[in-house]
Amino acid sequence: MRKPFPNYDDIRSWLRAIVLLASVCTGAVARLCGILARLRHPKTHSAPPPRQEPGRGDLCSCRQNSGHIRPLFPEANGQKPPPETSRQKYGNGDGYYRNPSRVGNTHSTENLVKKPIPPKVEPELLQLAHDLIAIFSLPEARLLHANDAWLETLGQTSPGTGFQLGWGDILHSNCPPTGREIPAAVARGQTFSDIELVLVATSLAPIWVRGKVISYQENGTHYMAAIFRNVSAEKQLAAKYQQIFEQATEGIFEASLGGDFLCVNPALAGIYGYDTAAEFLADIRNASQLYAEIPHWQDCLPILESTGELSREVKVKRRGGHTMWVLEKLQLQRDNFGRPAGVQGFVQDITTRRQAEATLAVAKEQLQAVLDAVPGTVSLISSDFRYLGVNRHLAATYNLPLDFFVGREVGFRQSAFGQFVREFFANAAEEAAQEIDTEINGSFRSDLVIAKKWLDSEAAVFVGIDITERKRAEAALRQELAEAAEYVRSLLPAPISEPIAIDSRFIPSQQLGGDGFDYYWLDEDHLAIYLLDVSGHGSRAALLSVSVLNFLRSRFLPDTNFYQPERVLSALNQIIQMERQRNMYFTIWYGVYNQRTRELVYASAGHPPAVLLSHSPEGIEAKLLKTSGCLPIGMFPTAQYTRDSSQIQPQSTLYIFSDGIYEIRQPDGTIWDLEDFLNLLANCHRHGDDFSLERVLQAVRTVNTKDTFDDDVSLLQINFTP
Amino acid sequence: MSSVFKVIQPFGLLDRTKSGQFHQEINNSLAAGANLVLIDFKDVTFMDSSGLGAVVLAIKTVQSAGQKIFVCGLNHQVRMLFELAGLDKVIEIFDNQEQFKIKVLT
Repeated sequence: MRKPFPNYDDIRSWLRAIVLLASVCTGAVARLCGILARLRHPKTHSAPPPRQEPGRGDLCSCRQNSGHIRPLFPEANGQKPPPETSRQKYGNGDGYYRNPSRVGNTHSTENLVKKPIPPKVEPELLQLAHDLIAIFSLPEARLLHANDAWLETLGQTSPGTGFQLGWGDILHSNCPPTGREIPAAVARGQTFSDIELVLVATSLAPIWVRGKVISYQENGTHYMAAIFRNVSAEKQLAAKYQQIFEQATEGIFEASLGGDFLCVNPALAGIYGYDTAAEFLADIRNASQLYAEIPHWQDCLPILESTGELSREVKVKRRGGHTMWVLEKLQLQRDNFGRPAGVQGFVQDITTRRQAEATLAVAKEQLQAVLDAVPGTVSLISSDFRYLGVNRHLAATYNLPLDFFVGREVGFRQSAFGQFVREFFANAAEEAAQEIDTEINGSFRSDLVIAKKWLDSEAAVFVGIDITERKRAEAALRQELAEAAEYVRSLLPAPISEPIAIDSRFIPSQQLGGDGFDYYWLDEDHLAIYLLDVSGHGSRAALLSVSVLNFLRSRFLPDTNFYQPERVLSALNQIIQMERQRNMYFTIWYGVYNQRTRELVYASAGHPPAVLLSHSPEGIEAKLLKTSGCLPIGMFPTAQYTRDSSQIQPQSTLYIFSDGIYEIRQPDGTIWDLEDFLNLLANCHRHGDDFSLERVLQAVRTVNTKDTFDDDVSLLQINFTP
Repeated sequence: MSSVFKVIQPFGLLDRTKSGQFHQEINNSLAAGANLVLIDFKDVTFMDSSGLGAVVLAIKTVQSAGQKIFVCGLNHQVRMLFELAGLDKVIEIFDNQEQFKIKVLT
């Protein structure tokens, strides 16, 4: 017994494995052999090939019906027999290469000489095989040998060392039970040509394999050979896709071109009201059963064939008959030859969205209806100054269609409105209002535009109320008031300078005021001077003021001596009572100056005193001219009026005024009073006689922080010179 | 004879806009049987000529009903207006309600 090199056993083992590897491709090779055989014997192509044909001149073997594998390396090929030591491994003393029954009995030496000698397969090549190859004893099914791919995949060490694994030890608990019966079946001569098993690695990880388990005989001893491909990655990928398919929220299906469902996922079943995919498939065979309108399925095919895919919203029938809307994305599947083979579909329930869209559409219609009902112009404008929409009223105002406005920048009709919109968006204020005058087709129009921001200032709503009529009425009223004011002013006397200089100021707080004054010569010597102040102000006060002016000017007072101030006041009090004057009354200062005697007689009815400023050795002397205890005119019919008199010194100045000149509310809240005004007048005169009424008013205006007075202001300045 | 005493206390600016309400309070007091009405001006900051007209109307209304009316709590501006118009001769003016109660009610 020779032992050419120490690891001869291994080489032997590899050779054996090569034989097994060769059998992996038996399918293809056998078919090829079959074809060759048929080509050679065309008349008997249906008959099994002659036994001598397979493997001839080629490094291949064909699987016989029995599934036996032929050894490829007979001694005749010059292959050295395996060493004797290897036999013990397989529990068999005979070297099975020698076994005449395993060598093709038709392999004659003659044939081998004629054919080219097949190349030897080095054991290392088997080692490189990706397939998992192992040999088991029978009937014990102990692992005798495994290639590197096997060992590496299952994490095992060489079966030659340590514990010999049994077939059952390498099966994973998830492996189908039939897997455990394989050794017994193989021992009975059965062959498993395409079987899927789950093996277990030493790490306990499952290894999915697919391949063959076959038996062969060697010197009367039966062995079991397993040749597997590791399909774990494919399995895991498939499992992953299966999981995605099962758990997708989108409905997924596969159907034939005719619309017959091949598979659906649970989500699709759920969309159509079924609990499981199986339930769905039991009820719905064809896609056309689902569509509310029958030709939907047939309609999609031509489009799919031309474009490959189709996305559409369709109305479908749910279980129970309710209709709903789905978004369907269909894709055409093609076979290996590019021919349409089926349809894959992705389905989403969009009923809620469709309902929301419908609700939104209704809401939009309602909003438009509301906007149209507004008796003004309404526009919705985005912060980039473009119209989002307008109401019919606005469109009609400009005689333009509703859609004409949408998307257009504001101000294309009215620049004033455009400017208002721009300023409003530039401003932080949430609301604003402005009166905007425009001219539309030649006619004046005025709108009160109210703006309110919306959608976090992304947009704003502008409502315009037509105030053209109101503005016209206001303008007319203003015009009338202006005319009335002009009339009142025309009643007031012009300044005079000889022989007595009189200047006056009349400053109504509104256009019309309740103050009035006059001065005129009763005769050559007597000058009548008066100033009155009707309670309140505005037009109602002006009417009474004008009446009194006319009474006095026309001297239309019964039994009245106009030279006697107290008689004049009594007469006025008799004909005017506040109950008949809408609760109005007036105060009046009335005086008559006799320029010959230089005597001034006067009476005041509740009026602020007149101030007589005259020069004295001590400086400026101020005398207040009033008759105390005399009530305003119109308050009490029983009021008594008295008179007083004063002698007028040369170079004297008399001021008569209404309370509006001194009742001024100052910024600190206190009221300027009569005393303050008297001080101001005295101060003015202390700086010399050369001053005008305008300077007095200027001084008063420095006290009044506002441009206008709250009350009517009248001021008379009478300079008695010399 | 027991007297029914009512206090009317206008506040802020007493002008034409307040006149109607002021007059209504006077009428209500009389309707409630008041025979002594006191107008307390302590909360009035400013009174204009229309406000004074409302006070005169109140005086006339109360007096024509045969009842008595007094005022108190006048600030400087209001007192000036009263004095200028000579109303201090028409109606009795007290410093405040306490003074009025001591002098009139007791």
